Amino acid sequence: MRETLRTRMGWLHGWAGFVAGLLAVCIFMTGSLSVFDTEITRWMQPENQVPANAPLTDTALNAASSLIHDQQVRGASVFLTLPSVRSPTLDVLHYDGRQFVGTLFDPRTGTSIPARATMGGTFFFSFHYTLLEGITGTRIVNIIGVVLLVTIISGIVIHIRALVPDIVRVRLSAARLRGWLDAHLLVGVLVLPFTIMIIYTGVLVNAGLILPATPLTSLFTPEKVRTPPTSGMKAATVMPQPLPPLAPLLATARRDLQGRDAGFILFSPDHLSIYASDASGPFLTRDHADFSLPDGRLVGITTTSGSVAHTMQVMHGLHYARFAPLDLRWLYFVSGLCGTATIASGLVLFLMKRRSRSGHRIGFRVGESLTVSTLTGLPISILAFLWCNHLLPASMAGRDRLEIGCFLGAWILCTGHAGLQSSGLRMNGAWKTQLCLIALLGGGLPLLDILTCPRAVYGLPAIHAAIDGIGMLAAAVALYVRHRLESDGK
Amino acid sequence: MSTDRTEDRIRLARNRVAGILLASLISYPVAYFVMMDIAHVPGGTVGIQLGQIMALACLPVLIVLCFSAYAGLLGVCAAGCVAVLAGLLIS
Amino acid sequence: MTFPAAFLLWLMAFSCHVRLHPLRYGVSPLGPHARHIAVTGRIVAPGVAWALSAWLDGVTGVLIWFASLSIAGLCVALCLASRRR
Repeated sequence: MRETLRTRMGWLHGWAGFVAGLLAVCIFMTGSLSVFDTEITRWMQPENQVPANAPLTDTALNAASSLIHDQQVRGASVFLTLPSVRSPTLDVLHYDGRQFVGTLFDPRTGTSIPARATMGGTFFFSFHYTLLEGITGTRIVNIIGVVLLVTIISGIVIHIRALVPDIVRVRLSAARLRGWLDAHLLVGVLVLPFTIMIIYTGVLVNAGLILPATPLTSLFTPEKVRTPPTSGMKAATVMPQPLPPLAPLLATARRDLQGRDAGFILFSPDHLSIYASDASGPFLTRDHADFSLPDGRLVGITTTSGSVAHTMQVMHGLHYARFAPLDLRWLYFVSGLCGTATIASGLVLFLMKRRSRSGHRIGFRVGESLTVSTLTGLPISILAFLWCNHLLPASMAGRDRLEIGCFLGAWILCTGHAGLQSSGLRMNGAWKTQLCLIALLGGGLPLLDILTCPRAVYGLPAIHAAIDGIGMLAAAVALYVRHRLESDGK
Repeated sequence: MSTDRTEDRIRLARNRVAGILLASLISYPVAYFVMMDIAHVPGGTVGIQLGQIMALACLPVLIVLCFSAYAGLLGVCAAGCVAVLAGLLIS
Repeated sequence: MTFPAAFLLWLMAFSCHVRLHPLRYGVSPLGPHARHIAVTGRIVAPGVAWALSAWLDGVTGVLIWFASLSIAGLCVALCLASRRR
């Protein structure tokens, strides 16, 4: 066999794409959902029916201030997120070791909203960059990102001659393998700029984890258990100062932060810091204004300057897309789904090409069952997570943990099912059953939503229609693929 | 004949696996040294950030280059030597 | 407003591209004059879309330009595939 650059790159593209692709599909799919994390949280907390652009009143700020002071006296480290177009509530939050939890206030009246305990959309966000494995998971995600970039470069080398001429070519009526290859190339090439941007900026967000500016040996030393800093110890013992009225401080901060809205406020015993909102522009900064307590005097403004810092900020901003208006957010979502489809079609192609020669091998069967559990198992578990949220009683203790348990349980069951079917060489059965389940759960989502929370559907129709619509879209795609599988099998 | 082809294929696969491992093992330190060279430029965290931006853009290209052909491997090794020498000169 | 404009300009560019590759896409070949217009359209339309997007929306506009490339390309490809069927 003659080894050429193209065959060598083909091997690299196939194997690197398959190995990284199994996890990359999960990262891309949950990342696409994270574009609407706040909206998903609102869908999952139907008790919160505050409309967008509800005015923020002094009464609400005072109610939040008194709760913050009470929690500070008890030694908790809290922060306040201010209402925005996407999340109109005033939230007093703290980190419980896994997630941010706390009290939601109605910005108009200052009354607390008895919202159900759930991780909401932040679960997908957390899964997207940690795989629920903390720093180790983030490091794995970063490595997958670099491998994906390698896969993309090798793919470009293979396809370079036909890259532009074939840019809109797809032959669905051709042979099955040809059709899949065309679909993979079509979606892959058309969303290539977005894919490269999102992977590169994503790796750059936590660049220090794979390229630390310390000696390389530090990568292999076990991570130290974090101990609270001495100032934190002091914070617990020093009596926190009473808070001044927050409205004038917000006005001052807005003026001194070049007219940008405030996003959140961090509280220390002797001062507070008002941070510029992430939604105020594509530069994701941590610019803030500090005020002393209890008099509320402006102590200083912290802003970052310099072209490199701004480049890094825009890289972060492009990845998080918190500045993006609704239409751009949808474009991010669609592009993310196209990226997922590219990787998914690549996984299927990899298996199709090897089925005739290696279909009987155990390694192939393991690979195929893992592919099934990723491509259909993950959507099933996401939908199970959403169903679980609406079916569990709102006031049930530990319901947020149960939702996550349901997500993981559904995924494990799907993996087990795919494994069992592959051991009997009935992979089509595994695909069909799991696709049916997606259709059932996705198609039933609007019905479940209307039956369990009719008031929320009526109060926030856009959010509920969008998320229920995505469920129905998943169902439609699953049914179409199932139909194609059946017609191919005949 | 078919045994020959199978052996050929196995040899080729081994060669490729060894090639990608070697490419990763060489490219990563080269990217790291490039980052450290840029990080040594005065300016605190700015240098580190610039180094990471450049090194992370280079890393996948270096891996592909290293894996593609023998000349690519030599080129990346030479770039690594230059980066190490530059680092020694800066420090 | 930016997205529809960029999307339409990209549709135009891809249509010109398809007409410039008659064998590949199974369309009728163009005469020399029409070919010249198609080449111009393929170059000018994305350029105008870029200028418009960047001028109207800055960074957001650039992102919209890339996204409209992807979506317009997918639409043209699906149209061609369904026509062939």
